[in-house]
Amino acid sequence: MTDTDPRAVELLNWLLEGLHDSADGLRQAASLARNPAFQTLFTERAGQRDALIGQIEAEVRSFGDEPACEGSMIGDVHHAFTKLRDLVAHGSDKAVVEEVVRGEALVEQRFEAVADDVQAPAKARELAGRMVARLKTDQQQIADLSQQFR
Amino acid sequence: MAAHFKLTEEDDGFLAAPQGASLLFSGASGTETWIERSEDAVVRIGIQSVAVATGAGGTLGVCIEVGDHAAKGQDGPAPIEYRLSASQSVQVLVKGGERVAFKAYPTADNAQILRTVVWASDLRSDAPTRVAPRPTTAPEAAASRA
Repeated sequence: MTDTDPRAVELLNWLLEGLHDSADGLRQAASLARNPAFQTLFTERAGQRDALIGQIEAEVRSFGDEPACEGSMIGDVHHAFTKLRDLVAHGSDKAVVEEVVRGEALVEQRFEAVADDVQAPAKARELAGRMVARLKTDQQQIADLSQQFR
Repeated sequence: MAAHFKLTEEDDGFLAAPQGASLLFSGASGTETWIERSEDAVVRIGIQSVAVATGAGGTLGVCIEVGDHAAKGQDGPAPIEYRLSASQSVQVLVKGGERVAFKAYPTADNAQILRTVVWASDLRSDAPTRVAPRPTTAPEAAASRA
C-alpha cells in the first residue's frame, strides 16, 4: 500500500528533470573540456547527480508513481554545448566552465524553490532542503574554478 | 573521446633539437639513460619541455642529473591555461670508453606536460680556433680622419 500525493510527485519529478539536465550538461562539459582536472571533476559530479536521481526516483516510486526519466531541456542543453564546441576548439575551457556554472545555478534554484515553498508537501520540502546544501557547495566549487580564468 | 590540449606551431619550434643533435627521448615523462664515446668528447645534453597550466599557479620544471649534480630550469607560476616552456642544457666530458649516466626529466605542478625532448650533441674537438674579425677600416685611414 502506498500513499499517493500528486503534488509531491509533481515536485519531485520537477527536481528530477533538473538533475537529469545537470548530469547531461556535466557529461557534455567533461567531453568538451581539455583540462584533465575539469574532465575528472565534471565526470565525478555527473556521477553524484546520478546518485541523487536514484534517491529521488525511489521517493517517487514510494508514492506509487513513475519517475521522470529525462531532463526538461534536453535539446537546450545539447544546443548550448554544441555552440561551445567551436569556441573550445580554438580557445579555452572558460566557456565550458561558465556554461556549467550557469546550468548548476539553475538546478540549485529548483531545489531552493521547493525547499522554501511553504505550501509544498513536507516530504518534497524535506528532501529538497537536504540536497540544496550539497548543491550549493558543488556550485560554489565550480564558481571558484571560473574565477581562475579572470 | 575526451578533448585534450594540443601542441602549437610555437611549441613545435621550441621543442626542436639543435641542428646536428641526436634525439635521445621524445614523450612526456623524461628519460634515464647514458652516453658513451670511443674517445674523449665534450657532449652537450639538453632537455626541452612544454606544458599547459591546468590551475592557478601552474609551474613546469626541467632537470638534468649527472652524478651528484643537477641542473634545473623552471617556468611559472602562471595562470590557468598559460603555455609553459622550460629548457636546460649541460656540457659534460665523456672519457673514451666510459659511460656517463644521466637523468633528464620534467616536473609539473598544476600543469599538464604536453611534450618533452632530450637530446645530445657532440661538440667538435677539431673546430677552428675563433679569430677576431679584421677591422673594416684600415687603421691608417681611421687615424687620418681623427
